Amino acid sequence: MDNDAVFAQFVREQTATLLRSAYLLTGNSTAAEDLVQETFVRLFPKWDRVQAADVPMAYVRRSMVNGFLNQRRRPSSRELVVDEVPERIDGRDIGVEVTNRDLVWRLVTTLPDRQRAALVMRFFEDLADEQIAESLGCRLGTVRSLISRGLAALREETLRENALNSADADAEGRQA
Amino acid sequence: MNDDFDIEDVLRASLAERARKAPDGNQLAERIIAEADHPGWVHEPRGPRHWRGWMLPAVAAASVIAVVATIVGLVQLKHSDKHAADADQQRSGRTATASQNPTDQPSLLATGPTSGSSPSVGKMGGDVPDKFRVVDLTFVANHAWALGQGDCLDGTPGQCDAVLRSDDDGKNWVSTPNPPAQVRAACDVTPCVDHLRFADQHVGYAFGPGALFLTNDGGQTWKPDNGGDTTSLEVANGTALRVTADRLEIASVGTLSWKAAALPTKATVRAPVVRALSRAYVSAANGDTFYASTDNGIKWTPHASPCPTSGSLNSVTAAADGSLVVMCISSGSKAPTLMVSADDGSNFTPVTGVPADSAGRPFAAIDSSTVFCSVPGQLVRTTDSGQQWTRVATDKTTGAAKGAAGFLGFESPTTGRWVSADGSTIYTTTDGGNNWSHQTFK
Repeated sequence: MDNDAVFAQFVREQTATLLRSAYLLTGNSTAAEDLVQETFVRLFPKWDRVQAADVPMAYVRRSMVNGFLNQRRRPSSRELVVDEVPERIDGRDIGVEVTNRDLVWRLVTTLPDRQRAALVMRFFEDLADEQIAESLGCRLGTVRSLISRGLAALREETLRENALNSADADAEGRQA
Repeated sequence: MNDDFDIEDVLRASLAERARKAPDGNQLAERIIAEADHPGWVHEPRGPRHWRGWMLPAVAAASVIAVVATIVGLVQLKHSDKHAADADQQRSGRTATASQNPTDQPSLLATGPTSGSSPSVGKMGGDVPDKFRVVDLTFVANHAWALGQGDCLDGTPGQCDAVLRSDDDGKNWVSTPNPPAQVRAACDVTPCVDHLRFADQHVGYAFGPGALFLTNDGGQTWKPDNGGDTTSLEVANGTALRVTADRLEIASVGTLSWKAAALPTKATVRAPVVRALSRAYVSAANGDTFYASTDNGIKWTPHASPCPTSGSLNSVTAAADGSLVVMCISSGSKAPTLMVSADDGSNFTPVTGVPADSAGRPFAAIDSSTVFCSVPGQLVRTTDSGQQWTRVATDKTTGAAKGAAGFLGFESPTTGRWVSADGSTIYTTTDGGNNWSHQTFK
């Protein structure tokens, strides 16, 4: 199989996977597709090197995460646009659970880029610390710290937000 | 949210749910490959805006149906390595055991247009039981699970239960552990599993009379629900809805914390509950009323049955665009009546000319005017609310002799599946039903 065919096969097999991770990193479909596309554009001229890697997918993922982080370092790229605004759902338990997911997602989009990338790789891609470290190009301890701080921030903000919502609901109840 | 919530669990659920909204990537992959063939591509990478025009329809369509994918190769290898050991622990009764070597799985699909030469028959995947016959089927993006029975791989005479999984849109299949209950196309024992539904590549349900099992790891392990008589279950957008006995219940996807759905007091229902987009519909047990939800099953509105006074509500289905289609059976007529609502059940219009022998058989719809009916050996379609019906596929595996399909459904306005009457062949369309390819289990 020639290089083009190998490249095409890899793209067909892995684009969906990369795209979902890219979506979680960037927060919207357009940016996710751009990120994946740009990753392949960047890697295509050196596809031999990708193929020679122990795990080509890890190589590509690392390139994509780097691309995301580099892109986000540009001042004009700081805004994270999400495809839809999370809705608030009131009252019933099932609604609360759905709302909690929305809330956590909204908070994820506010985290520093490296924290968000680490959380996505751990809690969506189920990667081990070592793999995350490789993708982020950092040490194991840094990965654990990123994840720990990211989770702490999510937990703190979620509790704070819910406390505020409860206070608002109480106030509305008194007014009624 | 109380103070002792598990942020990791919520985060996992949140990310999985969000990832389902990502485009499926098929169009992007082809675009990248096509562009890579262009001589200037590597030197002149496209800017982001170049992609936005063609992406819009893809995003819109994919946002409806796209589901979570992970690192396919790694997960597949990891899962496959565990299959044999897990299968022995998980399976009950006579079960198809699977040899495990994913690298040895040949691609043996027999695919081709329905209208072409007779289907060549091939075995899908290296460790799929011979004569596997589909009882139920569920697709989420390019992942699929098939529940069924086939020859026992260990040589035991007779049929063994099996659950197969595909991560390439049904091209190749491998065995995965069964839920610990017998599998039947028409359950005559309890507990018994006759249906599968998956929300994403991790979370799925197997259910039937006296049985409900949940997996959160793509079918590697199955957790039983204690009160598990489940005759219908559908998942979408973070919620699961099920019919148990004559009640409708709701839970967050991935949990077994069922609560009564918010129907009117003392309302009773009957299977199926059907869903598309954020819509959900279920019929009252007596068929006089049906209930509609536009918010994934959280709130429900009752509507009178649209069936004529001489008829009774036989079944309902949700079109890919969220429209509701009701099949009514009239005592004085062999032909069923189909009534379609494009406004969540407030108003109905009839579909005319429905084939008589489609009564009680699977039917599906893409929108309020495009409806498919299965009749013995054939699939017919109207695109104009019944003014014209045309045959769009023929079941060349079993023909008309053994009746109509056991399964017919659309995952999106373009992608649908139809299973031959004997369960051996999966027919797939990706163009709204104009053309159908087929995949046959040996």
